[in-house]
Amino acid sequence: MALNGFTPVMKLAAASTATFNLGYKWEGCVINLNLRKVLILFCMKLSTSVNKIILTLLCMTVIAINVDSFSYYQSKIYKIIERLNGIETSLSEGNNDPKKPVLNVKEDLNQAKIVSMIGKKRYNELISFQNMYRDTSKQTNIIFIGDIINEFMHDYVDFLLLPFDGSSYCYRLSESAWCHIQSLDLFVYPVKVKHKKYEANVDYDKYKYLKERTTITFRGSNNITLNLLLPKNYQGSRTFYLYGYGDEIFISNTVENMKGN
Amino acid sequence: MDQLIFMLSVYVVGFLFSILVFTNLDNHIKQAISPLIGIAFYSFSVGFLYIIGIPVLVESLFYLLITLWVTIYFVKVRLNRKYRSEMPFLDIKRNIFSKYALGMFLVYLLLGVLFVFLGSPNISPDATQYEGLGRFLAQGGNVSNFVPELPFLINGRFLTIGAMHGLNRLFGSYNLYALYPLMTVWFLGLIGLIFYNMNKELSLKSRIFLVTGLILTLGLYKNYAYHGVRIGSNGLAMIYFSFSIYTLYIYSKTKNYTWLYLGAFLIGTATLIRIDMLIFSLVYFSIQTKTISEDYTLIRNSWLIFLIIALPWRIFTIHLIPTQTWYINSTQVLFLLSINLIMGIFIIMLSKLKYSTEWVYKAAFAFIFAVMIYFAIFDFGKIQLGWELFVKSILFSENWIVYLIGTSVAIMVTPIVAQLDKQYSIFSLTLMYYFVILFLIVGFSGYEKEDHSAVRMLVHVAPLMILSLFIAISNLLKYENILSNYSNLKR
Repeated sequence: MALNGFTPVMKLAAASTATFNLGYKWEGCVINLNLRKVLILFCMKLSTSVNKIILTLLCMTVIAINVDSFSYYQSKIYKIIERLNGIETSLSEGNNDPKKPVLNVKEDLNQAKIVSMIGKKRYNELISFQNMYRDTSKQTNIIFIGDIINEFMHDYVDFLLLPFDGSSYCYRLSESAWCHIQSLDLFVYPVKVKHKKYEANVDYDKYKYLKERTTITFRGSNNITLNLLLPKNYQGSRTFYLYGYGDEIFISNTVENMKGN
Repeated sequence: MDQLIFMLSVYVVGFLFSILVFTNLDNHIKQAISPLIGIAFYSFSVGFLYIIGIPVLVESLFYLLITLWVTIYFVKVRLNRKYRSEMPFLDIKRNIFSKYALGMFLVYLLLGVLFVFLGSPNISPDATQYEGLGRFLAQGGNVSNFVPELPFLINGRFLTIGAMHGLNRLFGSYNLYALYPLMTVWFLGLIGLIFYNMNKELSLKSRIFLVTGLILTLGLYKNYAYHGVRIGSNGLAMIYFSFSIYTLYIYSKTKNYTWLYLGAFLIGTATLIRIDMLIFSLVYFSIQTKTISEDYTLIRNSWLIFLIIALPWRIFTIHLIPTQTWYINSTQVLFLLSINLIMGIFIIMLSKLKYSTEWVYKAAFAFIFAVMIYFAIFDFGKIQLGWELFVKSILFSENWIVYLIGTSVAIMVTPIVAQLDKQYSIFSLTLMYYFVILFLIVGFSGYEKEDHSAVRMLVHVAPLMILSLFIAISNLLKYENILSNYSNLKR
């Protein structure tokens, strides 16, 4: 009889009954056969019970894993519903906002300008990238800046100056946080990033000056607006600076014009 | 669209190398492992170009890949002629134009399209660095260009994730996100397919039920899903490490040595994905001694495959890593490489001298416990930190408690299930090793905050935990079948 796949309990039962049979073979095979049957059936029952217990334990563990995951998804779904409700509320509020059409016009102009520069496909990809990364970490604004400099300004820029010393993980510029600034070097390569001490927090007049000359605007992370001031031609300084006013950030090479302000 | 083309190229490159290198696997398995092989070969190529100072371009990459393919091809043809073996990799028609090939490619394509359109729901802060490194490579950056935090980037961000982001940019895509969910879902299908094939003794109904259960439980498992779709190294490290351990189990069942070579290939690639895998590669090779204890050729070849993949990148970039840096320093890298090399030489020598290596995995375990006892006596603070942070704060937290229960159950049932399936202990041993080593890493690192990277490293063995539960269930069901057949026979 093949006993492949039997547990030792089963094999022991089979072996012991076999020995029993050999020792008492002349006592009548009916009794032996019955005893052997009983022993094997007992061990089989025992073995089946142990297996069933383990099988139940394993199935319960699998169910526990699924229930644990279900509660995780449940909380995610609630969050999505809350967010959707929030969007719905803001949309309905936005419709009553008299300023909204003006904003839309501005956004459309911005979009048209960007599309004319890099094309519709690239524009969609850029916006998709920004939507994906926006508000995901403290490092987002730095990579947004790097990304848009690489996308729109790499022909105009040799050096990008940052008003930080490069020794800390995070810095503040007006109302915005700038963390892991090393990523900027990677995003703008081969443009060189340098650290220099200069007054990057501008006053209102300088802000107005920069805002008027802003070419394109992007929505950054944590409600920060990123403004690019593209030069009109390839002449002029190829060193660009980062400036901040409130929740707005500017990248510009117009440092000379602002001297003394 | 460009991202989709990049992902399809990963599949095609992987498939071309898969039919050449892993010749003895079934056709549908060669198809199924293609994306994993593609990512690996792309990474080796980017690493090679960076080391020799050539800017990474699509052209230079493909010249290199073609050279590599042709070289392996001629080496294989020569070796096979020498040993008069068959050369199934020459059967292009069977390899490429089979229904499996086209079917699987179609599934991959559809999944790719789906994830490109769905976008990424899960961006980690680290994703900014991977994306940044990708831009740097795609914009012509090479080894002679200084960038800040280079040691950190080389050891922690470059291969293979940074390389993938770079290639994606070179293919014209803006940013890489769809590859992660695609690989996570593909891996589910891959292990589901293998699990289905390995349970032929069960009825079709039971097999389908179990495979569906496995795929759903793992696919929907919160930590798997969370890290799987996240842009970062943990998802891929989880796939490569778990699959490498699974290949040991598959080899023990099928005795097809190609699985062992695939396992060595995967664990080698895992060390490129995350440097901490240079510790867990020791786990892989310790467990391997349980599976192949006396076959010198198999042991030597799998170590060679591993070392050829894992060593060059670390050795040729060591001059860029200072001895003092906040991330892994050069001394630590050399230490990790040395222990792998020493273990490799030791095991190869043992098998060459015809000694059994089966005791190695037990000795490794004894060594780990000896280390724990040593520190419990002489530096209890480390053990205390491991206990307080790893066990109490992480494992007993709401997020990981069920994972801990699952692992405990998988380990607890091993003595009984191993009576039906001797090699089942591969999974529980790996889980035990992994947890104990993580405990020590947490204790030794001295980092006391709860955002310890050990939290993310826990997920690397999540597929093994769930897989081991299902393999145990399948073994018990097979046994039930034997018992019921036996009962029927008696009646």
